[in-house]
Amino acid sequence: MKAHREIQDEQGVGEAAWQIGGRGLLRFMLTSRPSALIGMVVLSLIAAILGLGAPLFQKLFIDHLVGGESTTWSQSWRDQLGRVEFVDVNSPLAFLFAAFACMLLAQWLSTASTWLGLRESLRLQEIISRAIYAKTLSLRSDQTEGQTVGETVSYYATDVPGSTAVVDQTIPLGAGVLFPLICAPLAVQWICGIPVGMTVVVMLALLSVSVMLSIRQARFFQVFKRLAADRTGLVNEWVQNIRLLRILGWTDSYEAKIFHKREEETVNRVKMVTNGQMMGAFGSSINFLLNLIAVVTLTRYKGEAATSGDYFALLWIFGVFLSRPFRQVPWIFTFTFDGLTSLRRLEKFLSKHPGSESHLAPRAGDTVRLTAVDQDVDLNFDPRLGLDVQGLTLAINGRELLRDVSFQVPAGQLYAVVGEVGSGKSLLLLSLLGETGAQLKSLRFGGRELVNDSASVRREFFCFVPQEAFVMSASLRENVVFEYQASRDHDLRVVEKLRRAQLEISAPHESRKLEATAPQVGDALRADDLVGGLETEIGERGVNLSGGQRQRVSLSRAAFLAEPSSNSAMAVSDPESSKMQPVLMPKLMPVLMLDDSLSAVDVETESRLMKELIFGEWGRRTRILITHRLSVLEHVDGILFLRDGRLDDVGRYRDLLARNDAFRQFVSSVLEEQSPKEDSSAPRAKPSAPAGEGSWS
Amino acid sequence: MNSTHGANRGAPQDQDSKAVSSNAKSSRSFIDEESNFRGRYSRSVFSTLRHAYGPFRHRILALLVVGFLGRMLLLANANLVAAWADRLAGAQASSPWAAALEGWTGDQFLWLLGVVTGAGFLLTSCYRVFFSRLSAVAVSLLYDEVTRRTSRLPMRFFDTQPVGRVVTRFSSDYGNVFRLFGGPLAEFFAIVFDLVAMAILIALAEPWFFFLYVLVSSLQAGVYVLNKDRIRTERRSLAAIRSPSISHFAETAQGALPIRVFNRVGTFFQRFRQLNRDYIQQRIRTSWVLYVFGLQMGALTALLFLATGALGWWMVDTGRATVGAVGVAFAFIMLSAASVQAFFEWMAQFEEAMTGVERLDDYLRRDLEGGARLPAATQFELGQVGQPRYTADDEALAKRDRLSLQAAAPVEVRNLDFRYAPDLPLVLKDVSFRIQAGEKVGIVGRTGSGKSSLIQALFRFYPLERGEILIDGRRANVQSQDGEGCDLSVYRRSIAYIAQDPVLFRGPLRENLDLERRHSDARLIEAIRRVDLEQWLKALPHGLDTMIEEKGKNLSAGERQLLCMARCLLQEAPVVVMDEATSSIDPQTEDVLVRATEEFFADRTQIIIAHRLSTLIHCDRILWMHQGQVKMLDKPEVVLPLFRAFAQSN
Repeated sequence: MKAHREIQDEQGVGEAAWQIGGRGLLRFMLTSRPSALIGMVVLSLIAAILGLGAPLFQKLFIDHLVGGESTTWSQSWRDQLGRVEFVDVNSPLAFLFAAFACMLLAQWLSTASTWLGLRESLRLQEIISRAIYAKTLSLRSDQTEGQTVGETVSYYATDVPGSTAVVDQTIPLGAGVLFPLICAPLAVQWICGIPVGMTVVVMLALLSVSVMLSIRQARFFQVFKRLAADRTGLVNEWVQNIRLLRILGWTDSYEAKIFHKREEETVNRVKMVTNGQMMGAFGSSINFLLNLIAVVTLTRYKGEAATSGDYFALLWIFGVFLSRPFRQVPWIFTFTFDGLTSLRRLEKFLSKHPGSESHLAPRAGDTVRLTAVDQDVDLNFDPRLGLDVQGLTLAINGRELLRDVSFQVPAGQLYAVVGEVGSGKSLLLLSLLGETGAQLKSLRFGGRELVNDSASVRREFFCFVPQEAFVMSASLRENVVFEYQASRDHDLRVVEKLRRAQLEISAPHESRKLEATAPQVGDALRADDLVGGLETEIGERGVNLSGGQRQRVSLSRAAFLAEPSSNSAMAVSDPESSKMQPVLMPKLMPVLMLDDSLSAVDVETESRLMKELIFGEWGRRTRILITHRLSVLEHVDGILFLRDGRLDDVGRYRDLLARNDAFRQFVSSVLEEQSPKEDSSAPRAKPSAPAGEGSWS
Repeated sequence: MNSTHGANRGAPQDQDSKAVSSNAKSSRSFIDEESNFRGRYSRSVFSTLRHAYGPFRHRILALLVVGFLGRMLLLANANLVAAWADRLAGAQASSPWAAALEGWTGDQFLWLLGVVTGAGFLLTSCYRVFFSRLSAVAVSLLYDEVTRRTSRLPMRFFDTQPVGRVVTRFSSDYGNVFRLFGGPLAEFFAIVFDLVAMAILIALAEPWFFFLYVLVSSLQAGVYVLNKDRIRTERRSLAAIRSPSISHFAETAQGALPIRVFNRVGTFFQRFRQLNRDYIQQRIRTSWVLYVFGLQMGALTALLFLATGALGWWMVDTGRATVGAVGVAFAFIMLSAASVQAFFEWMAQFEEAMTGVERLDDYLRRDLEGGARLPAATQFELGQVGQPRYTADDEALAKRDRLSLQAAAPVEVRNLDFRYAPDLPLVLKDVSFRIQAGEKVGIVGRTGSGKSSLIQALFRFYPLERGEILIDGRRANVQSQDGEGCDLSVYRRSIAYIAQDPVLFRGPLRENLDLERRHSDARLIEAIRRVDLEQWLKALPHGLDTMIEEKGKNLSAGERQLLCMARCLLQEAPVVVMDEATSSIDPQTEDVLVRATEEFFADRTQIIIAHRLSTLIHCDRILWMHQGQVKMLDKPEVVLPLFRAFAQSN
């Protein structure tokens, strides 16, 4: 419950997105906390001014070292300062201290500005990261538009850190640079009498070359990032398929493929460093150029009237005052362009399917409550009535994938969905969950109409086990409880569910001393390596599980979560529950849907899973199962036979066999795959008395 | 061959110190914790860099000279200006520079200044551009070499390293190296030139100030040393804390559906928030340490400025130095302080890059799989015994050689003992059998009976403990040195492998069938025709150039399976291994597999791990594996009833 409070204090899932709103990321960045930005600008400006003071005072100090000896330098400076009515200068050491102070202060202030920029940009990154995360979580599988996981991750890993360049690079650097750039033409006119317009034109011309180079640089940089990502994709494929490559004798050629990409990257990089160095060279030489132009102009403009003081002032302005700005301008532009590109990518991603985050609202009883939505929804239903689906139609990108599917599953029965690959089996289950954009005329369970309820309410009724099992990089316990930092309170149940899912672990409370009961000797590649008991780290950074093991973890998770525990953290805190009539059926997720969730386990394990879970523990639930296994079809209460997105027929196995040609044809293609364990010497489907049924139900 | 790693990610996996339970035995100990690189860099790192830069050494030398000259010329400006100022001020010619300028007019002086500056500028730019380009190319060589070796490491290496960790070396570690060595390295050397040039010029202008220069450098070195460990620690922490948040993000992207279905959005969001916050907090800490370091360096520079000024004032005041000399010294102290500061800042950066080199070097120097040979094109000659190399002739031979020219070949296993690693138990014990050419043998056995291990052994993915495996009477040469037997790659190519889960690569269809480009288009089309995909191919607008997406996502399961069959057909292997890993096969795949055994590969020697009766009853013989041993090898009518009875009794 502590977690509960914590998260309510801070921004929740939906809120992160809401904070950014429809304003556009750049506007959001610039307006969400203007005080920080203004602070940065002010600090940078003062730092820039002080930074100019240091060389000025240094010069004055040197000039004054000579004291009375009136050198050209000191004289001219004194002239200039006299005109400014600056300060009365006596001791050279005063200038020295002034220069020292300027130097130190300028540095502190500019660091302060950078620090402020960093804090602000990290704050923004945090908000944007959350929005990206929420979007990633909320996009349904039919909304990702073929985007790979790698691409989505790159939004977070690459684009988010790059996107705030405007705040942490452009503003602090820009403020420091802009001030001298604006002042210079004015100063030039004021001191030397050269018209502002002329200086501005020359400076703009030089700057535009810089900007051109920096745009090129930003482009190279984008290409660089893309190529590196492509190459990493190849490397990933290469490492994962190293065996196959060796069998095929393709090692050299695959390497050549990687090298080709690497070469492209190097070529781009070479262009990029060349451009970068040219940019640097141009930036640092620009003031030499300006010097030259200035001196020539001055001579032309004033001719003999030009004093040495004029020359020195001019040289100082262009040599000292503008040297840093000209060096930095191209880089500022490069960072900015790059940042804006990232920003646009993020914006595009965030604007996909607006409002999808609203699906994320959790149900009452979730350990962490994010918003108040759905708190008062009545989740009551009549446990004697089953599932009733009417008029389910699904079209994606104009293609109709499911058409007018209607069926009923009586309470507590097991139905199987069968059909060719691509007939819409998985989409049917996902549509019931609200995970597609399917249209339904009616979706009732236990007499309760769910069609107008949000996806989060529907999830109260449906438990779903996908074919591709999801395992997170965490301990076995956390994977089953499906929560990070899961407490040990549920260990007994966790172990029980694991055992039901055929992952044996004994003695729950002493898991540290545990060994998996049957560490399979044979197959080290997919050995049951759960020696660390519930503490065993599995997933990406722990023990690699085989596909079958992953499915079994996923099944035990479903078994664990679909069962209300007495523990308060998991309990349904619905006051209505006490008024419930004696339950015939579990109240939590009374409909169980399995999308071919046993596909990767071996034959023996599969039959044990059927017995223990599907006919055992879940025996009283309303179950829908996608399967290819004939042995299962013989034992289910009904079969939904899908063909090309339409529900071709519904009925018991024998009835369908008797009356439906298409079904017979389908079955005969599947029939021969029966495992050696079953008696299937007869090639035609003459279902003998199901031998296994007794033991299963 | 089918991997359990779904994610395609380049998330850095380094250095995260996850709490490992101490009881972890077999599983944990073979997944080595990420090698910890601490302390000094080993000699081999520098030797590796020498290999990478070696081919360019003459050009590097020339460029370094050019760069140094350029910097010298640019820095000499200050000396020239000072000398000129001294002369204008009518002071005594105190330095050789001033003496050289005796009798020059203002115009001539300005011209000299212009030429020196221009030349300095030109040389410096040349150096920077060309050195950066060269460095980028040299470092890429390192990448290729590491790839060549990693491709040929023992299979055990890949079993014990998570995919992400290997990929990290090639993504973020290489990225660091590439970024810093191509570009900033030129900058770094330019700073070194400055420091050397300054030392020389200062010594020429005013030897007194040389000691000041040394003082500046050593003081700043002191500041660096004081901060070094902290910076290093914070940098490492940052690198380590980055990967969990990225991994978590990747995981979430994959598991969004179950997370929503089980209403775990809250806990996942909270987890992400925590990980992301940890990362951001660490970034703040790391930046803070770097800022403090920068501030300290800056403050030191300012103090030195003050000290130099005061000293100069005193010296001019007491007539020990000219104004020009003080001016020069001033300029140099300021410039050198800035350069020394930049030098140490880059040092801290390059440490990161060196870590990257070290991590690549780690892969570069491992022993290859027994029998593997580096390609003849390999460039680095590291002189390691465990890394033999093909001669160009041998390589060409290995590419076109075939183990057997027959359509089918006999397979013989003699007294085979097999284990995955020396510290793991035997999984095959004294296995012997012989399969005739063209025979079709099904392997049955319970999970863990050694079926898959037998296949692993057949491909020689792991060293055999005892015994031998002969195909067509020939064994594979798995020695590092020249040994008897067939080249390992030729041997492996003689066995085609059909997995239940077909693997396709991202890239054109043509590459997926024949990456090596051994065959003509006509042959590829012929293979496609044989697996009945001809119509399908004709319907593709781009034909053989059609792009296949990651894992063949844009194809149906059946098409994927059939394309893999076509690929196997093109392999022309006399032995075909079919691995039906699981019992549940969708009807399409099922159909394809049946056709594979009965049609496509009917004339080959077939070894089939099967669960399906339909496959098994059509086999010539059944090999029943039990607890790593052959329990029975006989006709299906004999073996299957017994096996079934056995399976049911347990």
